[in-house]
Amino acid sequence: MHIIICIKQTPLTDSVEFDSNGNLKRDNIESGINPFDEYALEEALKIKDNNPQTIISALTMGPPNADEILRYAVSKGCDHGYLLSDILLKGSDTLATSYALAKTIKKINSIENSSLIVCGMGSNDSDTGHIASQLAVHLNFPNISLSSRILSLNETSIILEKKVFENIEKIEMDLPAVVSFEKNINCPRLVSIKGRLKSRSFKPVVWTIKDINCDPKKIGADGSPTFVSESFTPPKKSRTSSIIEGDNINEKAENAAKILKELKFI
Amino acid sequence: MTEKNKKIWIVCASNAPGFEQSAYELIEAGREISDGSMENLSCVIIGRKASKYADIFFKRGIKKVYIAEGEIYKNLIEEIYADALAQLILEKNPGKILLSASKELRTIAARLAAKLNMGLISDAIKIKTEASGKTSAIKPTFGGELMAKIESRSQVEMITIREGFYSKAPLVNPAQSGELINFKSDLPQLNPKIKIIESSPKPKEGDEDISNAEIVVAAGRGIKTKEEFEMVRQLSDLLGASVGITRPLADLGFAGENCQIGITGKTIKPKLYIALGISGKAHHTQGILNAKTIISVNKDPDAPIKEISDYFIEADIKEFLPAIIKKLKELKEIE
Repeated sequence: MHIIICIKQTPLTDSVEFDSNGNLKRDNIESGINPFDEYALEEALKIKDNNPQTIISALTMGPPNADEILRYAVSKGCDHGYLLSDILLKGSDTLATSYALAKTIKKINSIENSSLIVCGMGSNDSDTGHIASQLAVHLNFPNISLSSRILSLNETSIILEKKVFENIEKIEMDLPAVVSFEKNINCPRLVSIKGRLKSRSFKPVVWTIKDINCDPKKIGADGSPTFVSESFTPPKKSRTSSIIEGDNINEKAENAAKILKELKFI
Repeated sequence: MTEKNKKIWIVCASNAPGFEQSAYELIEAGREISDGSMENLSCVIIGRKASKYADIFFKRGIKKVYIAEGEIYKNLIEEIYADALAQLILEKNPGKILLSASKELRTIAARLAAKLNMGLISDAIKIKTEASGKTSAIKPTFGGELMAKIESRSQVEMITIREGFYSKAPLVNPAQSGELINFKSDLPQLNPKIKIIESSPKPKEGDEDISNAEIVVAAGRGIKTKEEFEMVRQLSDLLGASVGITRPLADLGFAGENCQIGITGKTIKPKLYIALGISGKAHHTQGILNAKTIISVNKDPDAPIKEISDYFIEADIKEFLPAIIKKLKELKEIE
């Protein structure tokens, strides 16, 4: 079975800082694989653990240096890495991105047909969670979003578990299909030394939009129905910050208790 | 703006327990972008027993309710919901469509947007009508560290709105009725490619939902061990409070998602919020901006949480917790 996992290069949320105009401070930014993709990647790798003939291709769309996350995916156990990179894709919103990714998946399928497309629940930067559902529409595949685990899988169908409102559902879906996975559903493995060595010789397949037969009117800023017009850091609502003092911890606790009493919470 | 584009739809899924609460917020958001008028607002309720709920929307001033109901909607299958809504949208031409940003509705909206080639803005906390007549939305990104203003040039605009950021539309007339339009979709069929094999109630998570708690005692990364977290629970019990946690603690599994506070969790407005070992990153503090009183405890006197607190105690949480618990117990005994 051939599985395609869609991943995204994002700034690691804990390392980002913005100036007051909302511009990303570019120094010291660490970027890497979107943390939510790690869980989806782990699900795909587990399939390969059970069935070593499985081929996993990692796919990303991004700037040329996004190949680092493909190398990372290969070091974890993926077999191939595809990078769609083109300046014309800049400013693509989720509709345009999912369209371009679907076109790329069709191109990968022409090389080696895939049965399962796997995505994370969303990304830690833009945090929309649209891509999996929209990919399914463009590919005309069935899809299940936000699955919590794979219960079984064979060449023609997959059985998934999914939490929907207050229920847990077991759902069977014919392949080919698109699945996205929730966060925190597994413990993503660490990169092994063997994996790291293997990834050293890794060369991604790099495509531009010319390679994937896509309509240039449907991508990039011009092809996107939504756009970011402004960004800013959230306003802080400062309060008085009265200090509850005390020479030692017991005095501080006593004074805190007094305040709670004044406010009538005890 | 052309006449038809003035129509605003509130789309809600009645299978979601408590869906009315988020729908009332959507009504308020919709009313706000139509200059306070309910005239152009309609609701679409989709679900197994959708019509049961029409009245509660009439009572809140909605004059027209579209119903898509039946066994076909028993399980929330994205494709079926999106196909039905797509057909209704193509027939009736709304200009703007508002939905809850719950994870279930968000993916339905995403599918719908791709199907009809519409722009979709997700997870807005505030929407506004621009001079062009188009709606803009403020959306948290980077886990709430940055806000983005998103605009749409789509003919039909679709926006999902995060719960807890709008007030709830009040009851205006208990006797009010309105126009009920039953929508019999001919398109959605059970897709033979997707079968629900089993559906069973999810085991209850240990902690109750803190959305409406009056006092919340919350723990952040300053809490390192289960033993320390147990003390947080003790303090919470002494105050008759609910326990809250930040995202890092939720990721570590200290408590369920029901108690996670912040932009990726719940937005709450308790009377008292006690922040223990919480540094005060924006993604957390966005969830407590409307708390009446905030008391924070942190060993770092420059922790950002201090600035948004009414009271601040500089202390190591490991030492403060046993001290305050002891003190409160003493006070209880005196009473």
